[in-house]
Amino acid sequence: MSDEKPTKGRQETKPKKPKIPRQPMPEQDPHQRAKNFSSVTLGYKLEHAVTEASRCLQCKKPFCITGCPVSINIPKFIKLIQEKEFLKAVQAIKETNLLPAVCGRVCPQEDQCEKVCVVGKKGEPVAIGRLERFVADYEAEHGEVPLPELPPKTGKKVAVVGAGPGGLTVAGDLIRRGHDVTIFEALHKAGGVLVYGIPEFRLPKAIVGREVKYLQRLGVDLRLNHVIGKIRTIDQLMKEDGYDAVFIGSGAGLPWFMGIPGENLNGVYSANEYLTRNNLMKAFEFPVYDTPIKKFKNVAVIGGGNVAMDSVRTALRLGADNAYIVYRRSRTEMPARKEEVDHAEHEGVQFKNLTAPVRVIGNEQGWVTGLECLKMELGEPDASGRRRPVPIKGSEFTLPMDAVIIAIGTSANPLIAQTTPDLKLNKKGYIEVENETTCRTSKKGVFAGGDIVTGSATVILAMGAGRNAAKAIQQYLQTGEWWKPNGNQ
Amino acid sequence: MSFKSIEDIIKYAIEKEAEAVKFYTDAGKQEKYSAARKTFESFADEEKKHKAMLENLDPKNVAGFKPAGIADLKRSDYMVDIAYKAGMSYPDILRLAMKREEKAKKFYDDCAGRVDAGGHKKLFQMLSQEEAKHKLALETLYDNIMAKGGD
Repeated sequence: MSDEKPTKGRQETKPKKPKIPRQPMPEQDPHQRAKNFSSVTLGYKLEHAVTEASRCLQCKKPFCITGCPVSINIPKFIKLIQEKEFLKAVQAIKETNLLPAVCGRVCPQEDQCEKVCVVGKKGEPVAIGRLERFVADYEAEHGEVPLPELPPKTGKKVAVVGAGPGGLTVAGDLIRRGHDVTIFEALHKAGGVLVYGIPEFRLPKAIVGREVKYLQRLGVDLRLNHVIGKIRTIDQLMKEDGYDAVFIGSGAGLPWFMGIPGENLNGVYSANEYLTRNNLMKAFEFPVYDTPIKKFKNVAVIGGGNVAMDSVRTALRLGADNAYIVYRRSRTEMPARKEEVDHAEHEGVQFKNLTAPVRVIGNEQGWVTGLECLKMELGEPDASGRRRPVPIKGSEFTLPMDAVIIAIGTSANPLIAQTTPDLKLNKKGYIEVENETTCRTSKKGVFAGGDIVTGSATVILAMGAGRNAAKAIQQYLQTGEWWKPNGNQ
Repeated sequence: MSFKSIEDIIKYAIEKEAEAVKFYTDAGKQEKYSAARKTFESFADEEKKHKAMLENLDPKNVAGFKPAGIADLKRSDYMVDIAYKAGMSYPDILRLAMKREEKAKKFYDDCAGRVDAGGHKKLFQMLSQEEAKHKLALETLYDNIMAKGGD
């Protein structure tokens, strides 16, 4: 990992128009893939990867490293691809990122490393994410990954609450520092949002399983079906079970609803439930997996984020004739990755932008039959300069609908806070930390990071928080130093 | 409800603000977590300011009131009522407060519609405009939070 601050990168590496175009990612045909749950993108072949790697300028002070929340040494691993040293390339990534196969698939590189890539100044940036995925998949196809040499045991015990991307990162970093690490996961599979939230067609679950197994081979003790706050409290872990430090990375899994009439009708789902049934509980493979889900013909997904895109594309694959995104703002404001929006559109998802649902309509049996909406327009800029959507008077219309899936955000599950009285929360109900570098909570020895602190964000940001927390935990275990939070719970 | 004088209307409006102060103060006391408690306390403080503004209102100034166009995002207008429950989420707390402002605004709009042009009408419009400002502030806050979640 580099700590350099590349302030002169652009000046020292003058961008030239790249001679070799960015290598396209092979994909399944949109019409075919809209009917199956197999991976949408197929990954680079070896020759694509080497050609794409040759586009990297090997900047002396690379911006891409600072664009990465976990500071992967990107030029180093790309140079190793240029030299066809693929296994060494993945090892270079794993110095700072234990989940390259995951990040290569789901990271918003266009807003991070690739956004600041110098090649992108005069053309399209180097496809860093696709190369990351390539080497991770190459490693998986070429035998078991060798384990790094571990230091002697320190005798310190760390509990990690939640086996999502943040928790897995903390566990990986601390086990490699000689501590005993136990992950407590509430569900029956490890991975958090990687297994319950992101669909198979975007992130095959075998990849997550492989990364979790690697951690277990390193010595991480993984305890599934352990709901902290029910089975054990944070206090019990520390006072009775002998853990020296605890990291809370339990995510933000409590869905928000719109508060409009008809939301309690049959056929209205939170995106969390809909996706969990499909991804974690494999409803799409019923009856192989005994998880029922009704196959609806007309499905509206409310929202414009990545979770909404995952939900609507899942609905298509389950057989919907009409799968809609209903979003109150314009496409410009959509928080979803452009790639995901494009994929959804190519697969046949219908976009109803500048459209706000105002009522879910049902029949006498209590099932959804329609969705009443209003057309919106962007109002005058407010004091912040933002143009907010306002309803167009008299623009009501109704779409025939069998199911409505709500994907408008989530907040923290309150269970851990309710059972840990001295844990301070912010006004939105997330755990308050000293700052995002130390991840120290108001309770001594307890750290937190990821969505439980920031609200719903990305996998890589949770991993970045995990990396910071691991450093802070290491320091705490060595020195015992703590901070003095202001105010009381 | 009938009002005989401008003073009567102002008195009623002050009572409504006092009721709002009590509502938010009581809710805050029921909250287990300091963050939610502080949110309700901040709403109570805001209502106290509204109450003070009305207490200092000189009835003679009412005649000169000219309505300003306050934007209405209408976020709460399509939502169902929500009752206070200890431990409710932050978006729900905002929803509760938005709904209260929406109802107050509708009440004063309704009153303004029932009286002839003159001092009473102007005062009702003034009171409605104040509620519209509060509604807009809350709806903007709510909209910012929801936009981040993908709404």
